[in-house]
Amino acid sequence: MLIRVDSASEIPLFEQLASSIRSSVIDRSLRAGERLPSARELADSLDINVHTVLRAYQQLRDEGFIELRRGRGATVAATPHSYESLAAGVSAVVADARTANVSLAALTALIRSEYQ
Amino acid sequence: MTLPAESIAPQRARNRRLIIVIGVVIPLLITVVGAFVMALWIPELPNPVASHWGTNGPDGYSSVGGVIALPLLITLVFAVLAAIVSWEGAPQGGLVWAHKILIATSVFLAALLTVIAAGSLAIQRGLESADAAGDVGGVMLAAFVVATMLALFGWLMLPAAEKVQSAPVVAEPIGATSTERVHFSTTTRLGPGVVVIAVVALVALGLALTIQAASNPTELLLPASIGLFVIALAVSTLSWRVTIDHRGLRVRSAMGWPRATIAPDQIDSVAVVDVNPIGEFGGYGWRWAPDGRSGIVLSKGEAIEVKRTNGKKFIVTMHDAKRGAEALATVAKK
Repeated sequence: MLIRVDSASEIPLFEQLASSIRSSVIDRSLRAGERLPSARELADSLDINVHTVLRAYQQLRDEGFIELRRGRGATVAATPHSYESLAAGVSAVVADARTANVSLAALTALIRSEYQ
Repeated sequence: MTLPAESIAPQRARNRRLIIVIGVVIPLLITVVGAFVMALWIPELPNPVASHWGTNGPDGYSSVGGVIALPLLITLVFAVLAAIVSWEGAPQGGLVWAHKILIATSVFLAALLTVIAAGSLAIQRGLESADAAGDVGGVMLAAFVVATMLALFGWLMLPAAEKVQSAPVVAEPIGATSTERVHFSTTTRLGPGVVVIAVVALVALGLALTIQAASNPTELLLPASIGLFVIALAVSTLSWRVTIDHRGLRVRSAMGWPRATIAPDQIDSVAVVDVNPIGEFGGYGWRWAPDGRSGIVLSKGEAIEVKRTNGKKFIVTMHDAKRGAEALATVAKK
């Protein structure tokens, strides 16, 4: 699992953290059932606040990527979805958006309204 | 560089002939000739013969047949094992140093056991009782010298060890800005095939300790403590946690110890290599190679290789080594 966070970026740290872990689950460098480092450990490792890590973990739990259990810490959820088929569709949509000069915010808004 | 298959085959056939001749035929010849000579002495030997010496002369006895048969049996088992293990050879059709050591050890074992058996019987020829047998110190020394010379000769007859080391691919830092932080972590485990072998060995060790506990409980403390230490160490080194961040590279075994840390300022460069555990490190676990490299070698395939500022190289086999190496190169640069 590779995590990159940049304190100078406009994207909130917890969001960057969550997105790194999410991609690790999607590209299978993190496998179902694998244990994530504890929030304390990861906070020390990245030199960020432990609440930032907890917030990212909670968001990932709400999205169904990880499970949080008292005493067991965070583990990667056994996800039945296959992200591979989605990835192709997503890259096509993003390419379309780029050529049409549609901003990321506009694209996510479109996806969100379609999903709901 | 990979040689085409047709040029590997003749070399492999040549090596197999050497494995059979040096690793099996010569050791068996030594033991069979030794057994034949010892058999000729049987009429002149006491019965039973002395087979074990303490500080005050003989303190263990056995039948002549047992003393003659033991070198044959042990050599046969070891020679066959050495031949089977080295049969496939190295990827290019040669032999790696671990194979050469096994074959030379087969010669060493045959000569050592035969000379000890024959020497200890020779000094008992013409004796009424084995109690009068003299000291075997000279026999042991002679056996060791003869066996070492023969093993060395066997080693020199074998071709130079094939180097199976792959060319390291230097990892470039991720295009990180000064405000960016990276964290890479993974768990690296021993492959399932090796685990089966390790479990069999540990069960055998546990069994040996149990037998010792039942038969001779007074002398149990030392073997039991060594045995339990070996079992604990083996179990704890089956799985390792690897963490790479601004503090450098840290590897920690499943039970927390052993562990190792390399700080960023000790790192000269980081590369991805392809590791052949038997060929380069002679096995699995926390290993030292003859070329000075050390590391956590748990599986065949990709690994990160850290070159320290003092020139020493440390290796960790892992899945996703390229990403790990890039993360480590990034923190080493800062």
